[in-house]
Amino acid sequence: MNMKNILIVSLLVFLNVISAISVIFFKHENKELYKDLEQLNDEFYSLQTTYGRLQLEQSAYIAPGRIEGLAREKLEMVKPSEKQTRRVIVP
Amino acid sequence: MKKRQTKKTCCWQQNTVFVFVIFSMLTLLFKISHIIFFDKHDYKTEARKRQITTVSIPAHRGNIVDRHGEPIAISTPVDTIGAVPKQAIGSATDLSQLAQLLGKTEDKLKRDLKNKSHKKYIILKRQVNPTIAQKIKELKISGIHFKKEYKRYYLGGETASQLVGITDKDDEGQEGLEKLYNALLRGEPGKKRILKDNLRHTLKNISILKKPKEGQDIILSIDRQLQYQAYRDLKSQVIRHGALSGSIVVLDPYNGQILAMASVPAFNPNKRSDYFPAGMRNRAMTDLMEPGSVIKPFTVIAALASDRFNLSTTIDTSPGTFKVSNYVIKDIHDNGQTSVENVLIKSSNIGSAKIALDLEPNAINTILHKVGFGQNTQSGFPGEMSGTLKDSEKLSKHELATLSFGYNMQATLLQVARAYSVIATGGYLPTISFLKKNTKPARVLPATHTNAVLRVLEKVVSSEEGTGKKARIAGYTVAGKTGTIKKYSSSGGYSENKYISAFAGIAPASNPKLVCVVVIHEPSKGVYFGGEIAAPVFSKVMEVALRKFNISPDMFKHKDIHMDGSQVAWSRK
Repeated sequence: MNMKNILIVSLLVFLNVISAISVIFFKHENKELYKDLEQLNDEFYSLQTTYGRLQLEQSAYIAPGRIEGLAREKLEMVKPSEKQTRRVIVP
Repeated sequence: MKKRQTKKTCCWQQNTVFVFVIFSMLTLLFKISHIIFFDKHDYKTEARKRQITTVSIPAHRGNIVDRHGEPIAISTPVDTIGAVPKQAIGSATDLSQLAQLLGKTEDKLKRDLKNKSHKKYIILKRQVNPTIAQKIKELKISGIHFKKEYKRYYLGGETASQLVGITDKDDEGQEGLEKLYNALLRGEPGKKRILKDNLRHTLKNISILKKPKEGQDIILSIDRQLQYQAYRDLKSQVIRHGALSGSIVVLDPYNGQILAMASVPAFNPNKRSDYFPAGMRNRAMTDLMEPGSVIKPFTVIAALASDRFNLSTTIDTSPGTFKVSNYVIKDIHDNGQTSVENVLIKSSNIGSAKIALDLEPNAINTILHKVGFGQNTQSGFPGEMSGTLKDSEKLSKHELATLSFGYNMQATLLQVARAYSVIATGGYLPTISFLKKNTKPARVLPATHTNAVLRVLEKVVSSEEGTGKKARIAGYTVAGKTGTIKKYSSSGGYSENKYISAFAGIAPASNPKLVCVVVIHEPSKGVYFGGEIAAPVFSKVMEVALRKFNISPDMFKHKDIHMDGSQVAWSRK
């Protein structure tokens, strides 16, 4: 076996080792990223749950029935009669 | 000698062990060969089942929001609680707390788990409130599993239940707009491969096979606050008059956008146990009725179009009854010699019938067809009816006379609202839309005729003789027509004591912006005229609608003042 062949074989062996290490590295990297993705997905669901809850709360607070009830009962407001109303005509 | 004997025993023992070992190895070899050559597929499949499975990733269903972006229906993530029965029964943890959180007794929960112990996995409760699911997670009971799903919440509650519709447990649209726009709203669930042990514990997420595609949000033309107002006022009137049901539609006559559409009775879509089929019907689109006197304006349009009549043409309606082919048409009062204009203002059936019989047989039919009666509105709403409009050739003389005041035809409330849009817009028929989008209306009638009728309809409300006085709105001119319709009995003929009260109106009459139609079925407390039952609902709802859409008043009183500034709508007691 001449020197050239030895060099080629050594290079191939070296590349093979690098390739094997890369496979291990990227598999590990993929696993880690997937773990992160799962965590972010969990966070996304959790935020979505909170957002949904807040939307429901907001909707309950601004429900026309509730506002009307508060206006009538708590603030003692009434709708003015036609006699009490004066229209302002904007030129 | 003794040594030889020991050697012999030793050989015998060795041989026995050797034979046993060989036999065991052969047995093992046989079993392995059997597995490799005969059972390998079964084993492979079983191994895959237990280890790698594909699970779906739920997709978020799009939200439904009103024209201002206020949510009407939203989906939020919730947990579905499941169990591996054998593992849950065998767990050392007390199940009483779990049972309590699931709303069951401990005995019932244990019985369920025991009865289904042969199953690998059972669902204990679907779509559990996130707070309760968190409490169950904190119990850390082995064999209890959680699956993410989405639950639909309806923020409009019962006010818009029939219009918005509902979804089923799998988040698929079942009724109403949820069904109509299901393809847009639903999205597409994703898929992922995971590694599981035989107790359903996820050991590892392997890969995502398909990303979930989220559903699109939909912006409706509905105004949530107006929808509430329409439902509330309609419901209170239905209750006050002991009526069977009622519906209301508020429409933008120029672009056909529905601003509010409500029906009574209704049900709360957030409480499935309250579900009843009658409460789910969007009566404004699925129920047909004979529209009665609200059709008269179109009879007058047909009369004006014929050039045989103008608004002052006199018609003799004495003595308050009119016989047509053995049928008697009646007015409430004897209106004597009356003008075409008064036929509308006083709602004379005899006047309408005489106009119809004087016109070409197909004259009224043609006008009714042009304004959309007998044709589907093309809205696509599930269960929408097209109504019926008979061919003029098939109508007898009597049927032609009664068609002029809205009998012998059937229409939905929405069709009536669409037809009134033609009067409001000066002859344009809009395309009905539930979405906030502009469509181009098509001209179907000349403005001269529709505007003339609009002026008369204004008198129906403003005149002291008019039937629609209770539809008046302070500060605004209103045009409209009442209708009091005898209900057709299922046993044949018209009922003597069952009525439909209707009012169709336009405001402001000087510059029409909104159309509203109200119908109330079978009021049972003595009063049944459309002007008494339906017109007040129109007035209340439209007063809010006009203010809500910033439409300026067009009728002023002497004490109103001219200056820059805004008006306070509410004041303290």
